[in-house]
Amino acid sequence: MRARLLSLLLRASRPPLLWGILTGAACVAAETFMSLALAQVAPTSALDVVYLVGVLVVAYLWGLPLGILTALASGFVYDFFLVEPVNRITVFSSWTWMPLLIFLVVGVLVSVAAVLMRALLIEAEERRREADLDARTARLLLRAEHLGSALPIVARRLAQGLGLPFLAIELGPVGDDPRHTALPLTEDGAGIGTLVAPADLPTATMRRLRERVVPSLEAVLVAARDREAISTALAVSRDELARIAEEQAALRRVATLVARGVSPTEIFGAVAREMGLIVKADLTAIERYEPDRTVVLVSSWSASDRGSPPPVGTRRPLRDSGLSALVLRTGRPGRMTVEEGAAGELDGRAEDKEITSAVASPIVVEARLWGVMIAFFRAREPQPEGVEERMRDFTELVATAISNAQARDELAASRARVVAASDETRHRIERDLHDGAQQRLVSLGLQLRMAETAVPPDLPKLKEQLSHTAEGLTLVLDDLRELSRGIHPAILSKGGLGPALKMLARRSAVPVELNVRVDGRLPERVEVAVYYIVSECLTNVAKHARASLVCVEVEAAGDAARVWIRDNGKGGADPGRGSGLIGLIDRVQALGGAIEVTSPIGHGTALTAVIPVGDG
Amino acid sequence: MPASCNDTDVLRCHCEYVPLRCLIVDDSDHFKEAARLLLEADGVAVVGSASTIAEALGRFGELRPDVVLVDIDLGEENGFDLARRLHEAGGGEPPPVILISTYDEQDFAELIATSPAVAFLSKPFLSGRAIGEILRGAEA
Repeated sequence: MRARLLSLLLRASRPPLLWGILTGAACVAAETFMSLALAQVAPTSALDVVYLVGVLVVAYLWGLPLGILTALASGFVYDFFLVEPVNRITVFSSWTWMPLLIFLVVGVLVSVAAVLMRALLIEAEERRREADLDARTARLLLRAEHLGSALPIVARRLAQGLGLPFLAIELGPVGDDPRHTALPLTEDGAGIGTLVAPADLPTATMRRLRERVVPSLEAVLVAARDREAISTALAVSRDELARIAEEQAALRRVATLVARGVSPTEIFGAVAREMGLIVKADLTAIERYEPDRTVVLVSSWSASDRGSPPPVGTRRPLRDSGLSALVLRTGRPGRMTVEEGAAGELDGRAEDKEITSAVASPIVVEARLWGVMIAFFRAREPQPEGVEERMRDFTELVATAISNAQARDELAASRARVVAASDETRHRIERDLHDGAQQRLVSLGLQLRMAETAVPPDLPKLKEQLSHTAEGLTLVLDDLRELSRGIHPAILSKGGLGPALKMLARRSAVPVELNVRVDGRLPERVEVAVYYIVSECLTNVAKHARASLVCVEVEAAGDAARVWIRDNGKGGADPGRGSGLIGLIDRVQALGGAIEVTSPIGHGTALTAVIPVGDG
Repeated sequence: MPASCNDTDVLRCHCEYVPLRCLIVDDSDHFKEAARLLLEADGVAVVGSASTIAEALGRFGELRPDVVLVDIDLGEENGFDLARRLHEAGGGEPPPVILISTYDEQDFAELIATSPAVAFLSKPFLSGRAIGEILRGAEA
């Protein structure tokens, strides 16, 4: 009821005129009855005020003319019924017209005030609605993910709110059309869009659109456009950040492999894959330049499982027009499209025809061009500028891995050579001792014994001296033999590991349970290493372990010799202490093997050694 | 050492009738010479010497010695191999082979045990009497 009354009071259009006349008449009649009733208690001259209510209502709802008419009618009715003499119009006959005139002036003023109030109220209501509309528009536009998709909704709401048949908001100028009026939306003079309204709108509505709707729409549109730009920029930088993080993670994974010193083959595989994913390549390949102008494929990766890449190790001649040759010539990153011959780099690949471009980065190992890393793309559009730069990070890791592996190989080879040279020297010294000094001493001993028998019986002193000397010589020979055995075990070269280990077991101070499962002979370096491991362990057990039994197991199976030694002594041995075991660890590592010692206190000591047998 | 003298005399007397014929195989000329002198003084006839397996097998074929002294260490070659070859070459009646060395017997115990040689004799203890004892022990 209250809302209906409010909407009636705030409605811009007026009710029908007939309703106004009837209402005016009804008001006057009602007021007259009321005045007649009031006349019993109040002086009649004051009752003309009652009629102002009707004037106010009619003037408010139906405008000034009907208000004035109601005032006139009210004046005459008042005169007729309430001014003495009653039931007669006195205006024209006496001076009573004076109060009537005053009533009319007041009535007209009330009408004007009512009309003014109504205009103000309606204006305020309009403003309120516009403010609501603006807020809704702003909310819609600023919340929209995409400005373009929100505009039709906003235009429809705006049209509804303004009571227009339609409105459209376009981001940009609109062509002339006689049915439409185009209102340009600008920001600092620059066009940001157009508001399209029906052509035949009343001037007031047009003015309202122009003066109030357009400016607020412009402000909201600018804000929404800025917001969209900021969101887009944020999304772009977020994507960029994610890409960088992804790239860093990939590089870190590869770097970890490099640091762990895994084989270059494994690193090539990882790099081919990671790089392919990072630069979004369809295929990647890592190739090594050979001195005879060929390249050897060392690793490849494919984004899809279509076709199969040529096997690793495939060799192909270097094409002068190809990308690999270009990188070899310039020593710098390069790129090629299929027209320039990029596909030629893909010999033997089923997907040849789909590749449209390739980017290559050189792999430089210690200032020498070692190879090339190539990423192939199927996409038609050219690859972004940064691809080479991103590939370079990976090629540097590959180069480091190769360089490390080379250094490691060289170091291992050098260690192996040192061990071999030392073994050989010891072997030679032992042989020289045996063939030279020992044989001569033995011969001397024999000669002494002969001389001893040849001494005439009447020279017992001389005989005794000779005998003494021969015994001394025998002791020297014993010492020399002991020394020789320490330098190099002769039985190892003569009989191999089995007899040599049995000899060690026999000589051990602690009883040994020996189990040797070795068929035939192993490479000398392996036999020597196993022999020294067992020898050193038995010495250590005798010296430190307080054990009553040592179990020694040696097995040669597959591509390695394995040694297990464990005692039942007191444990607590520290492999870092005492140079004997360290020397052994060095020796075994030089052969590419490993030694592991566990020695919990109270539970004996266990040693495991694995030595690759290799190709001898 | 009277016992030794007596033994040598016995051997000598024995040799006058059936001299013990010995072949020495060793790659050290010093030792071969010293051993020859010693053994001859002890009444053993050193009928020949050799330095390599091939030479030793040839000599053995020609001379058919009663005993062969084989050095375990023949340079690149191996006294154990020679002992085996001689055993095979001897057919039904292989000659007694005595392995000799400057190494300790303990060093080669496994190989000596599996060898067809009748005994090991350390070079410093070489003598006609020691050989005689070994052969008598082997016959017994």
